[in-house]
Amino acid sequence: MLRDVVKQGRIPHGVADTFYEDAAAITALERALHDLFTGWGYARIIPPTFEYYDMLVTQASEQLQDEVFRFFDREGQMLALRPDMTVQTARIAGSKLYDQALPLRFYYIGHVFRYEEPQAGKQREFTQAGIELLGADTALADAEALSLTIEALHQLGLRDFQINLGHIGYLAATLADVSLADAQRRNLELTIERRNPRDLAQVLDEYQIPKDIANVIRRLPHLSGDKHILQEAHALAINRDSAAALERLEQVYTILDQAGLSQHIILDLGEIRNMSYYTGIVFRGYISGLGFPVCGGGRYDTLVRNFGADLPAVGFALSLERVLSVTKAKEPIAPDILVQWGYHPLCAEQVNRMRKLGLRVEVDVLNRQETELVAYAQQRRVRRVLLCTDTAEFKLIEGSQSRWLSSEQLLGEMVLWKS
Amino acid sequence: MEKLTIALPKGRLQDQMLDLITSVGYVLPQGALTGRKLVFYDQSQQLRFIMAKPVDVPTYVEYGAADLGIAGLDVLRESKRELYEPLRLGFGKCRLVLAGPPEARNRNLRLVSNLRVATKYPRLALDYFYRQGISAEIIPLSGSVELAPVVGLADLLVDLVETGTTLRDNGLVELETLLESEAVVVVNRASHKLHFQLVQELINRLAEEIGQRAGGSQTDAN
Repeated sequence: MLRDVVKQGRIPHGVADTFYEDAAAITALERALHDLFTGWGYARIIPPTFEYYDMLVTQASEQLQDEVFRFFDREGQMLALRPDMTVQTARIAGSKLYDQALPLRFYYIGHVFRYEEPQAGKQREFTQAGIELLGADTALADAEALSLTIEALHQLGLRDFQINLGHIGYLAATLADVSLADAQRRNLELTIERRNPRDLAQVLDEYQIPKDIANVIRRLPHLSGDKHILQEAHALAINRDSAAALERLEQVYTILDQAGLSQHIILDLGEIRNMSYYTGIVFRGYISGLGFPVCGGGRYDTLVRNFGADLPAVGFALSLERVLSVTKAKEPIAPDILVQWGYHPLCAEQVNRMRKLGLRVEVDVLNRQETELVAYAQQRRVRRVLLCTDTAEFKLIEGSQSRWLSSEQLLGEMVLWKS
Repeated sequence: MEKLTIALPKGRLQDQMLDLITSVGYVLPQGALTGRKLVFYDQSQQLRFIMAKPVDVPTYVEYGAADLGIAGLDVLRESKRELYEPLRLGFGKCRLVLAGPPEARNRNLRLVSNLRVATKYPRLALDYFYRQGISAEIIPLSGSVELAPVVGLADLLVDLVETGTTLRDNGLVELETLLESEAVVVVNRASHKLHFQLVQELINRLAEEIGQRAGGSQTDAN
């Protein structure tokens, strides 16, 4: 029977209690990512959960600004919960690590907070994992960020995914000589992203974008596909900078192609990430069954200089909950064995042995008798129950069968369970 | 084989939509035309169609329960879903308008401090008043919005009109157009990447048909 939760037991919209197999699944994903990122030479960075609002928000996109949770400390300073960890990493690198050998490679795994409408895979608190590679403005650095993104998605059990890769510099260079108000520019970007050709034509008209420039922008939503789209984009390029953006994109694509990763990449010049700090390549990863991206990233060469050192940088982040909402991965939590009298000296030795072998051992602390313990083990799906006696003999119960074992025999069994 | 799922809105646009799909070469089963079946396939089994309530189409598509959908622009803008909108279909045209009794024409709405507006489109209405600097209280209703000003529940209304007959019959007049709406093809962003060829091919076929119907004047989605 379900019953209403008492008022004191309720939690706010957009946050979740995660436990049992789901929490274990998050832990397993986190562990896989710690190993992966470390294996690629990235060092962990642990920024604070909240900081001064001005620091966190001034560099973020308008959308993120709207979504930040803010509050005041006792001195009246405005603080905010971090909406991502890229700005924090940039702050730490720019203000503290400016004289270190370059490049810097950092990864993070932690919770971020955004005031969004809660829906499947979109919560107000979620776990973000990502990397930042600072101090290298090369196609190789861009390609490393993308390779690591693809590898991370593989590690998390995803196969059917595509990374949509664009370059913000192409649009920026095309619009270099056009003066637009910030709001107009954002609206133009939004319209390109929606890929609605009529609205786009209307907006270009309304903002009186010169015809040669408008012709390029009108094609952006269609410049999506494999590397052949670069040819048309080159033909359309109106200046040196937009050609340079395409050259970089081509170099990155070639590196990924040689690494056998290009089947996951869709080149897309209509990919414009609505995050103000991006300056170069931008990308988002999509998986089947989820209408919004599971990961995203790009190059931000001007963000770090706000905090001191002028470091170009590239990075990506993914949301673990979004991954789980698609893979539906569960991690078993039942222990391998339940032990009666586990704190009895004769038994404690065996428990220690089992744990050293890496078995999951639960010791009874309710002084239960055999029948109660077996019933409890069934409920918790624990496959084995071990009973101790004063005679250093052990009774092992597995399902409906039971056997008596000496401590040597028990040791032999343990090794089998582990393998 | 890979299949695409398409969410179609039941009701007003239904017949025109099914006609469009038939005319680009897909053969639909009998049950589809009577509107009783909620899920059906075309004869070649390449496309699966689901019939949804119009306001729910963007939801089905954003969550990936359908790869594509057809929705009114009004519903789409109200829902604020993250979707691609590669093609307008040129039918289902209507306008989202602000309307009220004739005397409202002479009122400066910025000077009214507690304007009450009934609507099925609270988000679009609020956004409009916000941009215009008008302070309005939105009263969300789910139908027969014209009733609200007539019985004094609200001063004005924001609603969809096709011909304007309903408004006139209730002694109301249009004050302002908020949005020109028509049927739009929407695409799930993940499907657009993962089934790129299939999606693009379907859109091209629809665009071509629409273009022919409009006498070749339309140059969308090439």
